[in-house]
Amino acid sequence: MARVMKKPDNWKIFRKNIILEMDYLGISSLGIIAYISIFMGAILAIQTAAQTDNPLYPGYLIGFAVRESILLEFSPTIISLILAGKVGSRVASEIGTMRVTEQIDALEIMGINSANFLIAPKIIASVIINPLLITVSIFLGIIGGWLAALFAGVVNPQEYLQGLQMWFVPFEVVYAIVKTIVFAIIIISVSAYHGYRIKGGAIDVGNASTKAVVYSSILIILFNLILTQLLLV
Amino acid sequence: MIRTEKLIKSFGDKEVLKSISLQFEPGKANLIIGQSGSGKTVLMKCLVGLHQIDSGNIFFDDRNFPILKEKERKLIRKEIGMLFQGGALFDSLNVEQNIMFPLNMNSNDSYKQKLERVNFCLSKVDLTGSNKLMPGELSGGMVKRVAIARAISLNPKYLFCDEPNSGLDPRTASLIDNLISDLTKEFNMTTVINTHDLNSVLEIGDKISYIHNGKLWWEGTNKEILHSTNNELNDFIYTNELTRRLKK
Repeated sequence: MARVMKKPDNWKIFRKNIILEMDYLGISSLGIIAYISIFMGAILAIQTAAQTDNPLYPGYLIGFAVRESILLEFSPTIISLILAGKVGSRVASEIGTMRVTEQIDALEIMGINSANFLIAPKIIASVIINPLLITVSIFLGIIGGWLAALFAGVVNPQEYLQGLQMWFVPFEVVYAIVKTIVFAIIIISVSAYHGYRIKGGAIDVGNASTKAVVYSSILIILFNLILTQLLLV
Repeated sequence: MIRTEKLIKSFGDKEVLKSISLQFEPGKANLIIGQSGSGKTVLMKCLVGLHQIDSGNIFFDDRNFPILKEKERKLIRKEIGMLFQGGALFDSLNVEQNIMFPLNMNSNDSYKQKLERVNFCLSKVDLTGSNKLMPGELSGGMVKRVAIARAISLNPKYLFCDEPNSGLDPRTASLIDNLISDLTKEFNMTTVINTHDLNSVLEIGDKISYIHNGKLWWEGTNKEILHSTNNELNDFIYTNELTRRLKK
């Protein structure tokens, strides 16, 4: 990790790599995140409506519950877990393959700090792009709930919109973004570690990829608890 | 010139390199030969700094590599070109980008100057015009030649080749051997080649060092090796009936 944090050998290429990684690690995940977020928002709205099918509960509670669920937990945590699977396995297998095919040794021979060259741009790119992805996810999840209200008729859309605006605590957005940044660092550093430390061949690349996803997920859940305790209580 | 003094390297309890003292001269193809597991790859990785040595010295023109600071080591590394066994080309980059990569990282030349250098290196390995091919589109021999072009792109003083003709047919292997030998003489590089291919030994071995069980067992030239009386070396060279008959 100390080698990752060292000064880059060439700033121009380092900046270029950050932009490339933002595309590979972030923009390419936009489709799956949009798909999951819209449907999850809709499902949350329908399930909440089913649980609160009582005339004593006002309809706007559904909008409120969907917003809180998506903002506090679904988008930052569940989407990060999905990214741990998609991005984490990609990072571990990419770096692992470079290790077993001696490409990392080739970088070192050229006098390049391979850990910094390969891992630091990925961490920085994820720290920048993941909060944007999560913001999109929150937005689309809420729209998904509204679409369910509109087309499934589980709640009056006006009441849903009213619920979205009730008892809003702006700090919850900060909480969601802080969690996302921490999870982004966990996903990339854990996955890169498993890829970088590979010894062996193709089977080891597969194993590293699996370990990257498993350990990233475990740490995300653990840090979710710690951050929630620190920031919300 | 590269010189090692009493080089020792162990992995756990197993001592792989046992006090090896060697000298590699410029303008010559210096071959390290030995059986699989004899320690020659470990020796090469120690020379280029990919493995930390336990004790001993490695001098690159009187600069003792193991005791240098990281910054000073980097300067030496920029004078090193290395050809890896599998080529180690960056598979997301095309041929031109692969050869230009060390130039991008280490020089402030304009794109035009770098492209000229890339084309010069490609012409040296007889691959003019293959700039836009991806590594996946290259044959085994072409991969090695592109890797050589990348290794010489920064005009290195020292060239290391780890089994340069492994996995190649005898004709292509011979072409690669001669290419390395010619480039060594043309640019007066100190070239160290790790091999267990007898054809390479006989064809380009200006200086040969035989490593056996982690020790330097024999040194000589390709002229001398066939007349050696060293039993272990002869066991390594004359491994089949045909070569044994030829010796007789």
